[in-house]
Parts: sequence; structure tokens; C-alpha cells
Amino acid sequence: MSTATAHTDHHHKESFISKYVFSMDHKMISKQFLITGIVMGVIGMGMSIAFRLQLAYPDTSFPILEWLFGSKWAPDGRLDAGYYMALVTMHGTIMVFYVLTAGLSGTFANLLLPLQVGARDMASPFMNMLSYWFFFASSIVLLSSLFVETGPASGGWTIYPPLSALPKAMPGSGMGMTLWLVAIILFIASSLLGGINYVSTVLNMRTKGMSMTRLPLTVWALMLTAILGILSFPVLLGGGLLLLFDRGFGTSFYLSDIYLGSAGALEHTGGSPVLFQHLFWFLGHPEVYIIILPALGITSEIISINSRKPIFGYTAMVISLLGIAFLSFIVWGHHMFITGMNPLLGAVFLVTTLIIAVPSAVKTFNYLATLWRGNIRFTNAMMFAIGLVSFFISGGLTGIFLGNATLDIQLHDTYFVVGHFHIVMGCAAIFGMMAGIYHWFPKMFGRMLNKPLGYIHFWLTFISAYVVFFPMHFMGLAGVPRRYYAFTLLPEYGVWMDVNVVMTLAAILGGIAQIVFLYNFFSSIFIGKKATQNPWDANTLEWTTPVERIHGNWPGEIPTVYRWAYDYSNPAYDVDFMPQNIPDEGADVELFETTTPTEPETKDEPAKETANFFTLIKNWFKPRTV
Amino acid sequence: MTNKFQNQSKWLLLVIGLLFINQSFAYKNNLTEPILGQDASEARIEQGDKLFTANCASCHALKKKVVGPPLDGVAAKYDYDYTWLLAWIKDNSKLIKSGDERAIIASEYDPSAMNIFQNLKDDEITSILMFIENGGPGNIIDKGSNTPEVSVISDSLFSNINWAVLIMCILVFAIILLIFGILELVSNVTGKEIINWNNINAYMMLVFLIGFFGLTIYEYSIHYQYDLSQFGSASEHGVELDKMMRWTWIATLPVFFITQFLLFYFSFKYRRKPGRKAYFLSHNNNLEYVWTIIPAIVLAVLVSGGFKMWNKILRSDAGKDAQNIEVFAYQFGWYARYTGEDGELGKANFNLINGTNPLGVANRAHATELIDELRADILFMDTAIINLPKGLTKLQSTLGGKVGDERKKHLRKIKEYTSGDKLDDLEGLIQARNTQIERLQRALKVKKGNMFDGKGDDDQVVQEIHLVKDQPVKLRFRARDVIHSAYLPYFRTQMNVVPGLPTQFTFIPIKSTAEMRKIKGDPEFDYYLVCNKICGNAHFNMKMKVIVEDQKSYDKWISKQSALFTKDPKEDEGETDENTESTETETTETVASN
Repeated sequence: MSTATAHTDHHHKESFISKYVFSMDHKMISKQFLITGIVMGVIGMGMSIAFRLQLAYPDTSFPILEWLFGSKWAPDGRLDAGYYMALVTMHGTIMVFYVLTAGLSGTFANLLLPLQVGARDMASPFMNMLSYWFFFASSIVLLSSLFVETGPASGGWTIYPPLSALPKAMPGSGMGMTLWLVAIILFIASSLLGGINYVSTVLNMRTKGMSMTRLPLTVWALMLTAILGILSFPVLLGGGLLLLFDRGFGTSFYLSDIYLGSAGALEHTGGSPVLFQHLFWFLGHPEVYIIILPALGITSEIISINSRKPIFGYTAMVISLLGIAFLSFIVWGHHMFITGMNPLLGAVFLVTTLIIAVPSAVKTFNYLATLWRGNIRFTNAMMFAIGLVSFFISGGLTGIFLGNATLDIQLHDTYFVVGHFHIVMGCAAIFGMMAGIYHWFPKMFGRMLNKPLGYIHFWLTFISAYVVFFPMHFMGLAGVPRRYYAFTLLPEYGVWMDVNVVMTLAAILGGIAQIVFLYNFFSSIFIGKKATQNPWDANTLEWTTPVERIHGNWPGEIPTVYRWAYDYSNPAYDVDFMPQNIPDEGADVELFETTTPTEPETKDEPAKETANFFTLIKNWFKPRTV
Repeated sequence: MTNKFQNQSKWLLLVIGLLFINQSFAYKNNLTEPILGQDASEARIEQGDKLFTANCASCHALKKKVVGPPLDGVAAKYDYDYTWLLAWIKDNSKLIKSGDERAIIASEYDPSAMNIFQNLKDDEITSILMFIENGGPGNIIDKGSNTPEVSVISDSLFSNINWAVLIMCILVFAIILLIFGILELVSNVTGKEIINWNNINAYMMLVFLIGFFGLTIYEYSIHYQYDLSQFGSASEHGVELDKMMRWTWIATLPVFFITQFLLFYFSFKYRRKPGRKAYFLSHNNNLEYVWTIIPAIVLAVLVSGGFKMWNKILRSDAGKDAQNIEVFAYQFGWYARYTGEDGELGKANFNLINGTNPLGVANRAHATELIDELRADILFMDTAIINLPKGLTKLQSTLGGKVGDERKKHLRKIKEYTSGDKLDDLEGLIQARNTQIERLQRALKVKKGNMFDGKGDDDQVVQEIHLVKDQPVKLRFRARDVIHSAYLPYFRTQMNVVPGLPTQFTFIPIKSTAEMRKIKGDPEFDYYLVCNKICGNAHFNMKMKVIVEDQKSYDKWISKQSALFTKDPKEDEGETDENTESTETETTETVASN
């Protein structure tokens, strides 16, 4: 950890390995997270297209599938039923954890937190590096499970035991499941190392004048995300370890009263499968907000910048973020209304679940109010941010159906659920991530992305995403269960075949759109137009750093902050934006009910130049008076 | 077998599902030779078709691997030894234990074992075999199936055209890139923006808004007819649930249209224009109170409605007088158990499950027999452990000459022996059997509240649920192996079926099958109980028919169902569906006749 103290602005010699591989620079680590996330995203999306082909053309041979997965898993070019399940499971796992958790918060927390709060790096760069490498190892372990004999985990991404606990219940519950659990344990380690770092960076390393009420909303969102992760991931870790014990050491935490065709009556008694579901969803639900909150934070920032207006109701936005973060811990039971959990608990979770819709509604209305009477600049990032708001509305409203326990009796585990969460959490979060990539690409790589290609990417993705997921609601209302390989024995659902075809074609279109993005992304790194220092005329501190992206972020002193991050089109100034670091000439407008000191807070600790863990702890407890 | 399977790849295009979608298949006249001394007839094949769908189709298809192997040509694979096939289908574990070599090889196909079908009569199994042997696509003329013709898309579409499509895509992409590149160069040179992207995108927002709403309404107009609420709920609580659903739609749809409209309209209207300055507005507390409080009120109404109804459906005492029916889920199918004459479901336990008693209903005689069976099992496995070295030597001696996948498989098998996995597995099984015997013996000795109270003797185990219209019913769910979920969409009923945690759901069916057929205009319609929680590879094939009828037909049906355990200990086996005959004797007869 002592190496982490080398955070001065002088350049020390860096080898290729220390610069690009085991880098401790937060900007490099964010790039590593992003690119790993993109690779995982491509794999996850490819899997979804493969099983969507099965859903649309259950009896057509696709030689490409056999070429990809081999004749064991796709004999004669058609997916095997077990492998279909495996692909669904891996798609869910990869997208939820590897793309939308690590790829999204890993990238933007690393990039933005030090830059936006005015720090030279993370509180502990070494832990930060470990966080990435745990994530990387976890990705490798997860992907390696694709190559084991019995196939990867295939009990759904929620891996409910006993199915996931008994290798004899399903081939995918063999070695593949063990690897899945190991991968997730590594992932949790990565997430915790990162999360602790993010929170301590925001709390301890803000620059002069950067009070909590002046933080950009991205920082608020990313910090709360990290807190959610720190509090909920260990529960899954516990749950996963107990599952490993049940699988390997003969314990009975989740197993009871089981008779298997191939093994007879098992010895396990006294466990409860529902216990695992509680442990899983205690992470699982906050996880949904771990995914969406950073996206919402990014959107707040981008909508404000590109509407050239302050974000409407900053205080309300922060309060609703806090509200969502708190409530997300007491709503997990809405995934379990009909799992055999006591119905009394179901009633309680019904109430808390629908309450969480209120802060979400406030956020939506505030976005709309921010757009109102703005001067909207349709940058690529802005398009994706608007797309996110649209998805957030559509998916949020269907959440009101599912959160209602009574309606959940009918809709649970139907395609309605698939449509709902793909729109509100999948598409919305991916759009938030895309918005962030388009917006901060100049900061990451010093070049601009190609704008027209960005527009093509946006419109194709936006339209195809709606075409894929919107009809699913109707399927769900007709009672079509999810995770069905084919409707072989349920001919009644044959009427949805043509819809399935449309959805699959749209999914392929969406895949092609991502190729456009990938081309744009990777080619612009090398041949993109050179970026200027502040290409979007934004207020936040990251745009005060040089384009060259130096180690330590600012060549000289760290700038002092004099105002909040959203002074766009303030009539008090002649220009339409006023960066946070420009000293004030006494014309600051009172923006909050709470009294914000107009002068820089002198009592605030100066930014920490050292990032030793113990110093951090010491500083944290030190009285904050000078 | 594999070669034949691959040669028929063209036929593989026919989805196996087509075979079961429509009952109106005709079979050509060239039927197979007699099976087990019985002539194949269309009636028998049709019976076999039905039985296949009910018992086998969840794990097997004719042309495709589902959980079990494809069954087309299975007789040829086993040299047309139908007697062996019959014994295998009936109780494969018995056959394996008897040391039958083919059975042991077949059992190594997959870690999950095939279920036992002692509930099927020999005649019925013969019919199934007739269906399998005559059910090949060559013998079936599909009389107008109503599935969309997806099977016509041939593989050539994706092997021949894909290169052309790929090249075209790349070309189009390259041209687009070129055009944008030129435009950007020009704008760089002239210093003016050629394309006003901002305006284009602003108008696109408007176009999208119109398209989005248009398509939403269009989609609604074509798919609303499938919405379950269109047919009315088949259960009493479902009527109110539908009402609640409608109110939720009323509350959310306007919000959807208004907010989406505002989002895209604002985006369009307030697009950047030269000279415009955005209106500086950081917050407006009154406005924010309004849009916090209004959603809060609407949600409070929905919450209280949902809360009340949830309590009414799941926490009421209505189930007290309801008819008790046990629904039992296993990989991959369902059973239902009726109370019989005493009106009470007998106790059941997973330790009591075996081929003759798939639900593990408590019966003293059965338990004693089971203990003997388990002891025999242990003996068998002890012998197997002793024979392990012999088996290994045999495997090693037969390794030579094997190539490719065959060799790999063989080596893997040898590794199972050498690594001790095989031994561990057998020892684990023996230990489990011993525990089971202990538990059974303890249960048999219990004085107070003994589970062997005879109440289960008259229970009836069936593979179809019959309900009486307007009479409350309490479904009590029990799972054998993993979590399943009993989903009855038309009854707005769903409950997970959890091993080790009995669950239940009480409801009143108010529309008979006949009535629903009339409403749907589909004379073939039937209610189904389907599985809605991922439970294994054949999850998508788990279903059970549910029939709602009047008291008279119900009485008629239930009187035909025989009790699980009759008083005569000789007939203690195999009474599940409609068969009371002792299957044991029949097997020997059929074997003899061959």
C-alpha cells in the first residue's frame, strides 16, 4: 500500500506493465473496466441472439450455432434444451453483474469520482487495482465454465437451490455451477474493494469548497451505489458460500425432503430453499438499483449540461436518490410473493415496494422539468439520456403492476416480468452507460467519437430495444411463462410465434447497431477527432484537467470549488455556463433553502495527498475544525 | 443410430411439437410388425400418442434430445427387443440393479435418471411403442396444423445467403462511413456545418413519438385479444384481480402517454436555436410537492387495494371448508391426489417414495416392503463396490481400438473408477439408504401421531385435476425434487411448489371447461396447470390438464378412480391412474407370450 502514496504530479518512469496492465491510475483502471465490460457485453448479447433464434425458429437449423457451440450443444444447428437454459443463465449473469454492475459503476466511479470531487486519485489506488483484477479473474472463471463437460450453470441467474445445489438434478448444476459460484465470490470481492474505495474517496478526498451539497449528481449516485453494494453484496457472498457447502460438504442449509429419480431419497433435512431466496434477493433487489442509480446520475448530469439548464430540483434529486437507496433494502420480498413465503410478509413488501415508486416518479418529473424551456443540444450522449428517461418511464410503470402482490399472482415469471426488467433495468442502464461513454469519451481517450455514427447507433438501438421488449408485456398478460425453450406441449402459445420472429429480428438489428458502436469506439480511440479541453461546455471539475490525462489529474494545484455544478444559463453571468472552479465575485445566487456558505469552506480538510488506509481512517475521525 | 439420426437431418426441420399440436394426424397404412404380439392399429397408435404426450413427452421427443435421448428408432437400437424395452420403461432402476448390461450402459447416458412408470399397463406401454415406431414423420400426414409455418425456413437460408447479406451489410456500412467522412471534410474546409444534426434529431424525436404511440396502439389492437382478462377469470378471486388490473391500467396508461409525450415534445420544442438562452430554473418547491404527493396518493390507493385483496386471497379462512387436493410436482410432470372416501389426505413423506408410490403416501405395508427393497438395494451396491476392480479391468481391456469421442468417453469412465468418484458415489448412496431405513423404522414405531394411520389408503392419485364448478378448492402443493411453480393462468392462480415447504392456494372455479370453450370459441380448449419456475431441462414440457365440470360428471369421474392402497396386500402395487390389475403378473404373461 505504500506505493499508493506516490501521488505527486511529477512523472515517474512507467513500464508498459505498470502503465497499461497493473496500473493504479484511476483513469486507466476505468478504461480497463470499460473494455472488459464491453467484451462481456458483446458475449452476453451474442448469447441472447442465439437463444432468441431458438425462440423464433424452434425447428430451423442454423449451422452457425453448431459452429459456435459445437455439435454437443447445438446438434444439427439447433440449440439443445439444456444449453438454452445455460445461455439464458449466462446471459443474465453476464449482463447483470459483469456489464451493468462492474462495467457501468466500475467504469464511471473510477473515472468520475476523483475527477469530479477534485482528487488526484482514489483513496487507495492499490485496492482499486485489486478491484479490477478480481473482476478480471472472475470474468475468466465465469467464461471458463462455458467449456466444462456438463456445460455452464443453467438454473437461471437467480440459481435457486435445490436445482442449483444438486448436480444430479440438472447437468448444468455440476462443475459449471461451482465455477459460477467461484466467479461470483471473486466478483463480490472486486465489488467490495471498489465500493469501499469509492465511498472513502467521496467522503474524504473532496477538494476545497466541494461540500456535499455541491457534488454533481453523478457523484451522489455513484457513492450511494457503492454503499448499496457494500451493504448487500456480502449477504450474497454468505448465501453463495452456504450453497457451496450444501453442494460439496453435505450440509443442509437449503435442502430438505428431496427425492431424486437418480439418487433416491436424499439425507438432507431441515433446510429451506426459501432461505436462499431471501439471501439472494437481499442482494438481488438493491442490485437492481446498483445498476440503475449510476445510470440515473449520469443522465442527470448529461440532461442538465445539454439542456443548458440547471438540473431541476437538485435537492429533491438527492433526496429521492437517498430514498431509493434506503427503500431498496426493504423491498426484496416482492420477488418472492408466491414462493411460499408467509403471505403476511408479502403484504408488507407490497407496501414498501409501491412506496419506492414515489421517488422514482419525482426523478422522472424532474428530468422533464429540466428539459422544459431548455436550449437542447442533441449530442450523442443527450440522445441516450433521453432514451433512458423514456425507458425509465415505460418500465417504471409496469413495475407498479408487478409490485402489487395481487397482480403478481398472475404476472409472476411470465414474459411481462421479462419485458419489465429488460426495459427499466436492462435498456435504461445500458443507455445510461452509453450516454456516459459518449459524454466522457473525450476525457478517457482525448478524442471525440464520430457523431453521425453515434446517431445511427442510438436510433437503431432505441427502436430495436422497444420492438424486442414491448410486445413481451402482451405475452405476459396472455400468461406465457418465461424460460420456455419451446411451446412443444403448449400449442396454445403458438400464436406468439410471429411475434417471436419480429422480436428476434429486432434483436439482431440491435446487435448490428452495437457493431456500429464498436467500430466507432475502437476506431475513434486512434483516429477520432482530437478533443478540446471542455468540449461540452460543462461545469464540473473533470473538464478542468488537461486533455493529456496526466497522472495526478491536475498539473498544478487542485482547483478550489466555488459553486454547485449546475450553473447553466444563469442570468447572473454573461456566459451560459460557469465552471465550479471559477472564483466568485460575490454574485452567487442563493440556490438552496439550506444555507450554503458562499465562501469556500475553509474548515474543510484539503484534499489528501496521501492515500494510506490508516491516514484515511485517522482523518475520518479527526475533528473537522481548524 | 447416430448416423441414421444425422442422415435424417432434413426431417429434423419438422418440430416435434407439431406432432402433438393437432390431434388430426392421419397415419399411413404401412404400420409396423406386431409389437409384443399385438397388432398395431390406428386406434392403438392414437392411444399411444396420448399416453406419450402425458407420460413421455416432457423428457423425450422423437427426433430431438430433450432430457432423454430421441426415441425415433429406439427399437432398432435395441434389436427390436420389445420385452426389454417394456421392462426398461416400467422400472429402469430394477433393470439396472438386475445387472442388465444394456440397462447399465443406458443409465450412464445422463446424471438424471429416467422416471419409473409402473402406473402404465403393459398394453399402454405397447401402444406407446407402436406410436413411437409408427410416428416417424414418414408415416404422418399433417392435416392442417395451425402453427405458423416456421419449418419452411431451411438451413440453406443461413448457409448460402448469409455471406451475401454480410457483404451487403459491410458495403452499406462502408458507404455510410464514406458519406459522413466526406461531409465532415467539407464542413471542416468550409467551416460550416453541412448537416444540422440537431434539427434532424429534434424532428426524429417527434417522428419517434408518433411512431411509438402509433405502434403501441396498433400492438394493443392486435394483441389485446389474447389478454387473459378478455375471457374473464375462471376463478372467483380472479374477477376482482382483473378489476384491479384494469384500475392499474387506468392509473398508469395516462401517465405513460403524458410523460412520454412531454419527454419527446419538450426535446423537439426546446431544441437549440441560435440566440435562445435556456430559462434558468433550479427548483420550484410547490411543483415538486405536487408531483410527489399526487403519485403518492395514487399509489396509496393501489397499495390499499392490493393489500386488501392479497389478504383476502391468501390469508382468508375460506379454505376451511374447501375440498383438499394435493398437487405433486416432480421432474418433469405433475400428479394430483384426491382424498378418497374419508375426505382426508393421508400423510406422505419423501422417504416413502418409490416406483409404486410416486407420492410417498404413508402405508404400513408399503413401508415395510420399501425397507426390504432398500436393503436389497444396499446389497446390490455392496456387490457393485466389490466388483469395481473387475469393472475397471474390463474397461481398461476394452479401451484398445476405440477412437475419437468413443475413446474419450471410455477414458472418462475409467477415470471415474480410478479417481474413486464411482466408489464415493456408491458409498454415498448406501449411506443415504441406511439413513432412509432408519427413518422409516423410526416412523413405523412412533406411538402418538403415527403417519401410518391408514388415512392415505383410499387416496386416489391421478394425472388430471377435476374440479367442481363453484365449489371452493384448496390445492396443497408438494414437490419431490426441486422448486416448481404451479401456474393456472385462467384461474389467476400461481404458487411455488417447494421441496420441504408445503404451500397452498384456495380458490373457487366459476367457469367450467365447457363454458370457457364457448367463450374462447375453441372446442379443443382445456385448462392447464403448467410449471412456471425453472426446474430443469424439460421445464417447458411440464403440464397437467385441469377440468372444471359439474358435480355429476365429477362424481362419475372420481368414482372410477381407484384407491391407492386396497385392502388386499397382493394388489398393493401400481394403482395410480385407472389400473387396479396387478402389473407384476401381467408382465410375466406378456414376456411369456413373446
